[in-house]
Amino acid sequence: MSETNPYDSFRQISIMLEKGLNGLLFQSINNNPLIQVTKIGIEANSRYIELLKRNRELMANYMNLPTKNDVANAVKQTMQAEEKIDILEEQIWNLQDQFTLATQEQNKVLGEILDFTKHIHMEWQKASQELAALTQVKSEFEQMKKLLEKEKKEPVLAAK
Amino acid sequence: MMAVKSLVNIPVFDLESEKRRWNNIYKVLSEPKPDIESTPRRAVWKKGKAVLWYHAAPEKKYTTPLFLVYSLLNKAYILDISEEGSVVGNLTKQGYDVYLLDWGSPGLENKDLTLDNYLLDYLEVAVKRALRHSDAKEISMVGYCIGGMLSAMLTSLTNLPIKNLVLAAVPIDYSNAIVPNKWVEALQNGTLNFDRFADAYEVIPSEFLYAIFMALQGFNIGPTVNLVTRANDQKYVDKWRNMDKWMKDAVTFSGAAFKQMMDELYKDNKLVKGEMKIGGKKVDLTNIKCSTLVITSTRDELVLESQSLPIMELISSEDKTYQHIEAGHVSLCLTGQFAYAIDPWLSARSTRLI
Repeated sequence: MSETNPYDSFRQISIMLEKGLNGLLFQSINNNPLIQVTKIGIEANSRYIELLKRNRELMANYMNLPTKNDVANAVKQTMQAEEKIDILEEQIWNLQDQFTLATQEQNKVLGEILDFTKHIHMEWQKASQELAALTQVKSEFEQMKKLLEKEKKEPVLAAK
Repeated sequence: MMAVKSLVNIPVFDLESEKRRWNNIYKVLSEPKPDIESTPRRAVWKKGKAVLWYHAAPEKKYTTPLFLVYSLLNKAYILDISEEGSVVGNLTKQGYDVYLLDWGSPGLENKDLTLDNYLLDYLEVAVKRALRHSDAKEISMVGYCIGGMLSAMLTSLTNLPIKNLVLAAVPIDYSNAIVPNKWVEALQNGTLNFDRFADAYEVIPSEFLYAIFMALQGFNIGPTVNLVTRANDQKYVDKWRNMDKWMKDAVTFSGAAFKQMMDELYKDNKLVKGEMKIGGKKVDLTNIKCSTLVITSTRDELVLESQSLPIMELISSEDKTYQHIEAGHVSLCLTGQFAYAIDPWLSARSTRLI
């Protein structure tokens, strides 16, 4: 607060006054007769409200009118439905979580299968390369065989 | 001494300022109450009259969200009274995602709601929803007044991952209260009993709760005097009007919960003795093991410091802090100061967003 606020003094006096009055009030209500009066007041008020409620229900019943209690009971049904939806939603969450877990597991297994297939593929490629090499060796052998056969035939030709 | 010094000063009246002052006071008296503009929010879950609000941080810094629980006896919008300078506004600006549970004002259909229902059917479910919504692994609970008491009770009962617990102006020990001692005795020995009263009314009218608050504050001329003193300051007047609206906007209270509070807390003080039962299970505050911060304020006119202190002894948390700060019960929330009071403690215990 600014130094020049003309209401500062007013505020400070009020604070002092408030504190003083509250202290006085605090002391003055700290007595048993007042508690007894309050107790009687609460009892009387409660009895009056009970009577009023009973009569209100009676009147509404005779006049065949719904009361606030009836509306409250109807609302309770809605609340029960709301609670059930909440429970269902939580169960869906659980299902979702389980699905996620299952999908993760599936992905893991699929990954393993993929790795295995890759491994087989590599092995297969290796095997086919070896096979190709072997085929080449075989053809070379056959060529060599043919050459050998040729060489065998030549002396025969020379003898003719 | 200061008063005397000021009294001697000759007041200087500035005509313009005075015109503004009395014009504002006239407006406050004649115009309808202002509309409260909240920080941007979205309802995540609703049940009966209760709503779980989600306030996203504009620049999220922490992955651990905050879950705010306010008192059952007042409206929760005091925590979100304006975008500027409210508790929720400041917390979101500090980088926290905030969930705020607004209990709402119970109607006749909620007359049977007990503290058990509030805890297990509302609070626990709402925390679960917040965890699900935020996709966070842990959450920090921040409870104010009765909301603090409920947060502490829930933390001791639940298996939910509550990382931090902040309790402000929390009444735990009811052996003493802010009323004269003969009234406390009358409540404790059963001379003053509200059972029949609660049964008759079924739902305690908001006027009754408002009257209790007014009675507890005695001659409450302070706010009016403050308004007259600072009515030339438009910003203060706007804030004052928001507070005034909130003060007079009392809630109803379920009769069953009122009875339970009066009998089990004010009369038998069961919580601090470890005898209180919720959903058939004993509430044992020693089950609280998470990091805990307890805040009390120096000028609290509704909850005594001695009502909050016993919780420091009761909980088993190794990491527990106690702060006594310069504020009042309402002003701590109203000014948004609460957000600055808890931020240093909370930021050190919240998981940072990488």
